[in-house]
Amino acid sequence: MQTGGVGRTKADMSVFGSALDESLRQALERSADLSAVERFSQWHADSTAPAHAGLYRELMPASAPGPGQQYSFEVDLDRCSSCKACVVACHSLNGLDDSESWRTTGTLLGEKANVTVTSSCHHCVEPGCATGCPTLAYEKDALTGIVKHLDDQCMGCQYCMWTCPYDAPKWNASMGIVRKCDLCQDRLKAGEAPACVQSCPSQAIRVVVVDQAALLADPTKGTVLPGIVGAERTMPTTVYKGDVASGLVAADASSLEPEHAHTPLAVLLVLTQWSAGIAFLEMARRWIGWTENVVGFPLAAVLLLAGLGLGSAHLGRPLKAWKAFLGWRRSWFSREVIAMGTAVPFVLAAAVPSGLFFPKSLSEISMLAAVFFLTLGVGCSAMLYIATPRVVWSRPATAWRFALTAIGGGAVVLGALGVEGIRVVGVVSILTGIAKSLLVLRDKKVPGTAHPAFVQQARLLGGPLKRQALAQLYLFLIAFGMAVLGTIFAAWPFFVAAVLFRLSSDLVERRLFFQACPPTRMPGSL
Amino acid sequence: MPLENLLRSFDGPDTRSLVRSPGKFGLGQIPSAVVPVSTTTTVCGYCSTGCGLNVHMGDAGAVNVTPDPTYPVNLGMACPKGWEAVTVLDAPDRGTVPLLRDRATGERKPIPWQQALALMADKFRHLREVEGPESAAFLSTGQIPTEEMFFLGTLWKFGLGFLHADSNTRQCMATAHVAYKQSFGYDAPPFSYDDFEESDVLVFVGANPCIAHPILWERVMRNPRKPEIIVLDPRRTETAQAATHHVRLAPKSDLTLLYTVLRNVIERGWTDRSFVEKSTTGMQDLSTFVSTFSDEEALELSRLSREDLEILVQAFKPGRRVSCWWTMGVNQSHEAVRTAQALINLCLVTGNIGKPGTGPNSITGQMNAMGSRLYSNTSGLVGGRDFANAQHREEVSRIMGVPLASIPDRASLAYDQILDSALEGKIKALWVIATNPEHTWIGSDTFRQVREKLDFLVVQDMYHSTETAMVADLYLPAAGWGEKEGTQINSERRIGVSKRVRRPPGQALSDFDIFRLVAQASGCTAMFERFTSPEAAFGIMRELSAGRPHDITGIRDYRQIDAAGGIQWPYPLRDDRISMPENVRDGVPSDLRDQVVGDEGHRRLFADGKFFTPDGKAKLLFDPPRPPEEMPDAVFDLVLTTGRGSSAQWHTGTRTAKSAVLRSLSPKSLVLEMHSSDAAARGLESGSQVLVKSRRGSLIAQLLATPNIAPGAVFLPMHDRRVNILTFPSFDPHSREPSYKHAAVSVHKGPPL
Repeated sequence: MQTGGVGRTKADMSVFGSALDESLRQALERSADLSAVERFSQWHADSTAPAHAGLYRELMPASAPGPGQQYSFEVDLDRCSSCKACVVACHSLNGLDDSESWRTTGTLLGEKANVTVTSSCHHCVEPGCATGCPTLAYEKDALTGIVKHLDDQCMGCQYCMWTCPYDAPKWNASMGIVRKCDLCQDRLKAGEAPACVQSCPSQAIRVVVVDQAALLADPTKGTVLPGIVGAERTMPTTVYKGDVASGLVAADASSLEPEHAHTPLAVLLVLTQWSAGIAFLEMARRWIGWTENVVGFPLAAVLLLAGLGLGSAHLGRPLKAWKAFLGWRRSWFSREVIAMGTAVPFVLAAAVPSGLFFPKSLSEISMLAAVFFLTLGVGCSAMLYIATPRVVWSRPATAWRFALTAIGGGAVVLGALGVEGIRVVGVVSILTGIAKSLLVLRDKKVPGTAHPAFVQQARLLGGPLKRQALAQLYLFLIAFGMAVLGTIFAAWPFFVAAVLFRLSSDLVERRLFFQACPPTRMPGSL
Repeated sequence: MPLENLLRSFDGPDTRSLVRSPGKFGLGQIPSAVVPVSTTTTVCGYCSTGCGLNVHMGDAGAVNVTPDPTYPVNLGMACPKGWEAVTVLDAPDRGTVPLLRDRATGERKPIPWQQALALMADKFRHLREVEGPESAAFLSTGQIPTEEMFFLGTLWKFGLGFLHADSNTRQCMATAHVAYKQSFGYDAPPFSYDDFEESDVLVFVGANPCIAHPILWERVMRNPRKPEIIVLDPRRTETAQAATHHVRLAPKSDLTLLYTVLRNVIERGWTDRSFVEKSTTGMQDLSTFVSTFSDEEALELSRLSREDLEILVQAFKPGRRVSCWWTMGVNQSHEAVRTAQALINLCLVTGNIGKPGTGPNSITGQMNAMGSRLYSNTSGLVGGRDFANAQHREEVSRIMGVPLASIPDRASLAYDQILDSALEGKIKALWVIATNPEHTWIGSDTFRQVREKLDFLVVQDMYHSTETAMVADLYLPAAGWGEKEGTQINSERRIGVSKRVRRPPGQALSDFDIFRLVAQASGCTAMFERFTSPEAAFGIMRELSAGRPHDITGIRDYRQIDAAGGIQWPYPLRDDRISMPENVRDGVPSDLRDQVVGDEGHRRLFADGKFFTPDGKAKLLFDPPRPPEEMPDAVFDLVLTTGRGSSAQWHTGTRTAKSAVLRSLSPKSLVLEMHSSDAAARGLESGSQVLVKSRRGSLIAQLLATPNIAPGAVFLPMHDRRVNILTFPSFDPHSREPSYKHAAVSVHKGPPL
């Protein structure tokens, strides 16, 4: 939506003289004159009551929700004619940006018929967005059940977009925050229908009142559509009516469009994990009794701070990042931030050579605390992904992937520092490297009988992401070779090369972790 | 809880950016940032549904639109294109100055309007004097108001003295025009949209209103009679799915099938004998003709079951109101006019015409194809007249005050013939207005070849970036819908007013003003001195309608049309009409609209059984079906059909692609639909890239293997420029409308993604 016309400048009108010039001048003047419409009637000049009200009266609930009830959308799939006016009306009547709309449409393809599915926020009984949000930017209204996003509370981490199984929160890149459907709550309060309800030529969308208890008892009583996952987690309330045969497949189910690579997050994960790995192995070395390496912990500190700093580039509103701890009761994002943040002073303290400024015991405690909180942080990182409804992330392999990245990275770094026990850290790097590459390679070849998400991930890795996946493999193989040579010859220069290639390989691997993960969402379009 | 407030911001600038306020003017809540200072109604400028829109006016013009809840067409609803009608006016590729292209370098440079007008006037004057009246042509559009078409057509022929002109309505509605004209004696679609709501049986042929005319489908959904809905289409479209029965016939088997249905109807004695006797001619010949059509042959050709045929025949069983609706699946065919007339015949012989819920009804495509049919002065003389008719020429000469000698006594060449003539070097200059033939013309790269041959190509368009504008010698920046005013006529013959609610960018001018300036630069000022404004031109159109079947002499001015919620033709001057209140400026309550137009808010034609032919009887016309000119063979073994991609797309996307939200609703890539069995037989995987070849070229598309299309057929949406590389140029002999629905292609594995 724009305001006003492009308009013309005075210069446009000042260049003419003869009869034709005069006509031209008049024509330009005439077309700039908007007063011509004033001769027509002004309908509803004094009316504040919506003229559309009669068209949607029967699409509204008779009464407000009582205790244990809430508002929800009801969609009659048989009435929907696929015109998509609801999407544009949501955009237009809510004053949203560019292509922003909180309602989307998709198609379920079937043998007998295709079904167009319109969806926006399902205003879940247990909203996944609210569970994930680290800043408590979601509020489920106690009276109406509407899941409202607090736009001024949002720091733009987009985690809710992963924890919502339905792709309801929408990223507004220019604002740097997420926004979403609020069921047009102000309209509802005034007795008006939500934009989508008002605009449907087929009266296929209405607002109804549903019982939350019934959904808590049996989530499948709510939103049931083929391909939808997560109903048991969040208890979505949208009711889809109509003839939906089984065997329907979302039109975009086999779409080979990679997801966003989230490079800042890939950097954050890899650097913090390497930091944790260095700290852990250095502590282990000292416990074994090998000489302290004075560069290990400073490097861990640099990587941790760099990871957290660069990672914050992911946030749309980094200045609000201080609110990230608020959701600690339920958000793994908050817990990750708290653990990593707490680790920072201890890692810095441990970076000081033992006994230089502090008593040795304090250095010991700092080291122990640093390793504890870094490990906790890596664990929270893993849980952050495992807790999403995304099938590919939501498994122990994610934790293994992160742990092996940490230990493997830490091992090559210590090798490059030429520490005492270089052969042992070399063997550690080789073994973790083998284990991790098995994890990575396992994703590329999956049987057709596997969960569709894994099949899709493999298709992406073998299709549009093939070059990156190969690059990751080659980088790893070079790093591996260098680590083997370094271990055989007990020579740190090989490990320096291994660090460079392994780090590159890990960064590409982590970008692929994001790019190749099929999202959970409502059916999309081709 | 101060701590709570510090930690959690329930309010702030981001929250407030979405605050909604009461919009007044009956709008309900709207975003606070775009609360209007006034509103005004207008009619949408995309398709022929002709929806009423409520324009929200800010200080500098329209800031938003919502559908008009009181307009009798759309009843408060709009499709995505209508909702976004204003957005597309702000595109960065709007033309703001005339551009002259250097033919050697291809570079385009801004020039003053005076230079552009002088260049055009000189070129056309020179051509007219040296090469004669057949040396230039215009290709116009169904996308501008009637007044502008009327001005252009009369200026071109009576003023500048050229003979040939056509418009993109040839690609869309020419068939319906010719079919009605031959059968009824006048191009008179008989229906009102109320008929959607009053039918017992609706038969849609080659039409997908769910996507192409969503608001007309709204009217079907409002039908309280639990209607039977039968859809004839090779694809299981959205409409076919919503129907009670989908007849998935093989492409272009429709004419044979419809003749066979008629034979069954006649054999079962389901004809309306008294109506046929009183109101039609040719029944005996038609009966004899269809008696040779056997069920078996029809079923084999159309690849349908006997049950399908029986359902179709039963649809016409007496006692129910049957309406037949068609669009491009019928119009764009090598035997289109006879197919449309097969539907007209079915309705005529069963008496399904002139009564509520009946009629052979053409759903028009473009917002003003209907205006073009009456006033564009291309294939017919203005006011639904014939160039060959001396009396008609005399009437026009007298009413318009133009010399009789300036009115040609023959019609223009049709679109395809104009392009052929240009290829032969006879037509040396083309003036293209608000259409994009470089994208849309059928078959290979015909228009590119034409372009190479032309001495002079002028393109007048809102956008300087259309495929055709990019290859023009001279580009003229035009105001678009919403930046000018005029009337347009929708599918149900309803005249609506489109208003100026925005300032055009830069030096862009309304097409009407451009025509005025061209007239002046060409020395035709005197002949068109009455064309001072679109509304003045409407006055001349009204005079030209007197006594014609579309008589609109009862319409006083734009204000009356606006207050009435559009007025259907005919609307002759009569004493008994309740006159419009004089104080409409203060607002006519919408429930008074019926009084403004009298008791004729919705009208259908032919209730008296009298048609516009000399003997007052409708003609039953037919011809033996012919196979399409390019049939599939061993190499090109599939039939390509084309059509609308989504409700968010229009034609070549010059407008709709300028809205981000409409783009988000369009397919992400070019998708080829193919029957799952055909895909399996070729080892093609759904979602993979395929190479589609015809004798004229090839393209790469993404495959969608689906059971929803007839085996042997494939479908591509028309909005991609490449699609018309594949299509086969064949034409209906009566309407010269191109057949976009039948080309032989082959499909192969494409490069990996």
